Amino acid sequence: MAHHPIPSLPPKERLILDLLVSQGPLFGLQLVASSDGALKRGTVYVTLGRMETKGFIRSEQEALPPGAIGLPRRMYYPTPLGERVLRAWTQVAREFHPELQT
Amino acid sequence: MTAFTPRQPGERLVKLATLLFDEPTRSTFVIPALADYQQELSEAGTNRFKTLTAHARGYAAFARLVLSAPFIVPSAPMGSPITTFVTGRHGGNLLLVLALALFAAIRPLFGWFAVAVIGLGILLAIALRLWNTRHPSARGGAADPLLTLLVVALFAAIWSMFGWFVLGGVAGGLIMAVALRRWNTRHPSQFAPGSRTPGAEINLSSIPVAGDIGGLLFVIGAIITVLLGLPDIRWFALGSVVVGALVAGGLFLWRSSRTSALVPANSILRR
Repeated sequence: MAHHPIPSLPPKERLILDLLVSQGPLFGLQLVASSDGALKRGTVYVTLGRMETKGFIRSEQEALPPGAIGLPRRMYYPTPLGERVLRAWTQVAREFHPELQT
Repeated sequence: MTAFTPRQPGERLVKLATLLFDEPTRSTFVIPALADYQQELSEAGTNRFKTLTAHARGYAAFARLVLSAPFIVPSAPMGSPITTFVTGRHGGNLLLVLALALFAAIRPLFGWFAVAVIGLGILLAIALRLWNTRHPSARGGAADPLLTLLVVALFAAIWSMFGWFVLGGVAGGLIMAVALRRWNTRHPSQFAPGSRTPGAEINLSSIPVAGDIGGLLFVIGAIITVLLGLPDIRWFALGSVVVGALVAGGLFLWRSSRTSALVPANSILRR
């Protein structure tokens, strides 16, 4: 029988997906600011990189205006797979914790 | 008069990251973090307190990234200039460190004999390399006389120290070789042999000690042989077995929690 692994969604990845789905595309620093301390600047990009590898999110480098100096930031977007995984996880969570219905 | 170019904040960190990480890791993890640092600095404007805070947070984030990335992204430091410098080509420097550590450990036991063996080993390695360079098409059998010479020289050298144990070791090794050969004849490998010609380099990682009864016999035999010859290291060997088993168990659990797609294409598991 073929082995079809079910995507896992650790709490930090769920939070990031939740923020991206509810607030739209965000930069890493904006994700940290919106997380009320749950995400740290030093590790958020490692989590984001892992999520990108899993296919939950995608990222694009911001286009710097001509003449601008500094490093380009990276904007993160949820993918359809990421949105599906978040929906499925939310459904499962509500199954076990009915108080989340509200 | 020298013209100075104004330095961008985080420029040094970018240079440091270039030394520490490979390009994919830099572009995925490090550059976005440093871009955030620059963004925060530009938002701080002329406010000294905010500027200092931005500096502190930026450097702290970079430090955490440097410390955590190699553990979370195992490939992160691979291919970086500093890793290549430390490990050498194909990890050759690590082998040198291992050899030096081994030499330091056995030096008190064997004295100048260890130095002589190392010298002879280097000479033999050079001779083998020269032979293989001049006879590139020669397969394994072509170097057999030199290997036989190495084995005979080794036994002659250790005869005075180990006496009859040497003969016991030779006999045990022959019996084990015959047993392994018979086992392999009756239980041929399930894997098709590769079509490529084996490389001339001596590469320990390519010695096929499989996780079957043959591999187990080999390992047990090697341990018993070493312990009989060097009983003083029995506690060290026991500790090594325990630590090795713990590391192997940890690696197994860690690998089990990840998909096979994460195993690199050139992994020893796929050879």
